Amino acid sequence: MATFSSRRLTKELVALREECPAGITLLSTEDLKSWTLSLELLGESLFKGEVFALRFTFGSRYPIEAPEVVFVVNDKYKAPMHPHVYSNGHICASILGSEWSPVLNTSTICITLQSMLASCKKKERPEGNDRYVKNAPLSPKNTHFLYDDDSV
Amino acid sequence: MPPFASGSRWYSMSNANTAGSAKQHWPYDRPPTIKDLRTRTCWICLGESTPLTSRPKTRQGWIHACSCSLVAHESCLLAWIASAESASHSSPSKASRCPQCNTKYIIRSRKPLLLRILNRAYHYATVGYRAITVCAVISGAFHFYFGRELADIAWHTTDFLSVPLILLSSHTSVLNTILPFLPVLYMPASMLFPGGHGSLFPPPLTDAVNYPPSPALTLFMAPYIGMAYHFASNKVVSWISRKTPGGPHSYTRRNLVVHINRVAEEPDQNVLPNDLAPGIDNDGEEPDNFVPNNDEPPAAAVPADDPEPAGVNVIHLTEGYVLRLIVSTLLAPFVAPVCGELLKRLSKHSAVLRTVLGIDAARGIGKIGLRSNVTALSGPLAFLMPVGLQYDGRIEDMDPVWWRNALGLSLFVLISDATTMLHLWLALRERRSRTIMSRNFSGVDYSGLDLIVEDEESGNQGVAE
Repeated sequence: MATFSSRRLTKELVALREECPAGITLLSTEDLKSWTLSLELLGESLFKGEVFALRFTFGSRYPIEAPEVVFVVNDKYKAPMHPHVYSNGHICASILGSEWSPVLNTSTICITLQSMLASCKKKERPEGNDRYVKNAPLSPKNTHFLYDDDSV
Repeated sequence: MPPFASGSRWYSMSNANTAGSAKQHWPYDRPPTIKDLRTRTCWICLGESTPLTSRPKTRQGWIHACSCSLVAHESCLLAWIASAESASHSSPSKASRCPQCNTKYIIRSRKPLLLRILNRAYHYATVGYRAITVCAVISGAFHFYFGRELADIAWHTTDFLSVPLILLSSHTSVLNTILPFLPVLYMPASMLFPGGHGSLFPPPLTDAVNYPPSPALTLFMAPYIGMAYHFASNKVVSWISRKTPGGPHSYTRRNLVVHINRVAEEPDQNVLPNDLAPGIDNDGEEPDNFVPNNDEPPAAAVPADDPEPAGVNVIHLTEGYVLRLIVSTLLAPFVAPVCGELLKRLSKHSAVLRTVLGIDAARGIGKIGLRSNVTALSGPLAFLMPVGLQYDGRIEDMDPVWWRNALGLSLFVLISDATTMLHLWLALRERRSRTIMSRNFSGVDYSGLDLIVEDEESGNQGVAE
């Protein structure tokens, strides 16, 4: 249902072009369904000075269904060293899965991920990162994450 | 991490409901309702209504279902709730509450007693099927490990080896390709070595004129009847779904997921042609208004113009019915004799039924039983015979147990499939009939709402001080 999601995405894009949350920049929108945003942490944190990029992919059922959100991993960007972020950029965050609600949007997802990084105590990969990355599906939406740790 | 940790930021975007052009006070005694809002923005699709100058008579598809300032298209909210119900990973209770104020939505729908009974039965049956599946697997292992005595008890069930295939063939498309050849594979032994008079498996076509058909012919026909049944039941389902209010539907038998009305999902080869009804939005299609435009005209006020959000149209009743398929296939050899016996008992009261079942009244009911009158075929050809049993009388003299068992099993399949269809139909109708109760804005700070204040007597728009 392209019109249903594209109407909302158009409005979100307008709002993002007007004003992005602090530390978030809209890098590119190849089309309405795939956006790239950069993300950095402005305050004091373990990730100060690092810039990451997030790739949003919106399905035709957005916002009923959560978008696919991954950290870009290429020559320029790396995935942050965080216990909830795998080295291939996949993110284990409940708001992108079972806790998704249409009340969330691109900018709230970015802010939530910012605060997830900001509250990080120790830079490390999730347990079993290598195993996961080796077998991971192309889209993290096909992974069944268990959201067991609310503290980080 | 609380899911809405930074939710407040978001409302700067959807605050069209609250950040109206003029802050007005509310002169009436009653609390304002959705009809009193001048502008509305759906918190789900962000669609806006055209600013109103006078109070509309109806709520025009908009609802205020909770205790905060969020308003939505009713269709969007229903889509969200339905989607959360269908998704296996998310909890339906989450979607039935407002994400901001956590107020539970009040949903009304047509839920007849029968649907409630079927839902409850479905729930218990799922538990039961799970238990049976586990038991079957364990007992299968038991047979493997604990020898032949137990396996011998089950030996007779091979008489009905191909009967479960009727079931499978009616439920899956996988077997459809090989089923037509199964009887041919099954036949050679009896074709090559016709036992003549005494064989249980004479060439199937030699006695085609007899009624009831011989065991061989019954088995021979089973897959074809199964396929015909599969075809016919699909026709019935598509007819039902056309008759269900809410437009064209589609239905896949393999995983028992119902798609109604233009659902953007991967095309399934089993989806009935009416899924191809006009009005499907192509996923890959580039939206026309791709470049966002700030002065884009506001969305239509009446959401009837809105495309229906996806998600409202999928009903999953998967696990219970998939398990049922497995269990009924496993249990078919046991169900068939029970159904056959039931039919036999019923036939005592009906001459027509006796004729249909081929029970000759003069011969006496159950005088000649299959098991009591069979002797194992001995000799060098024994291993070639698919069943390895032989009857030393004439087929025509036998009590046609196979026939009533086959009919009984067919009836069983028919009834259980009809129940499934009824359940799906009622579930579809319930989903379609849902409405959410709209609440007034009592408890919300009125000053934040962009309200229409007009003199209700004369209809003139008044400006409140």
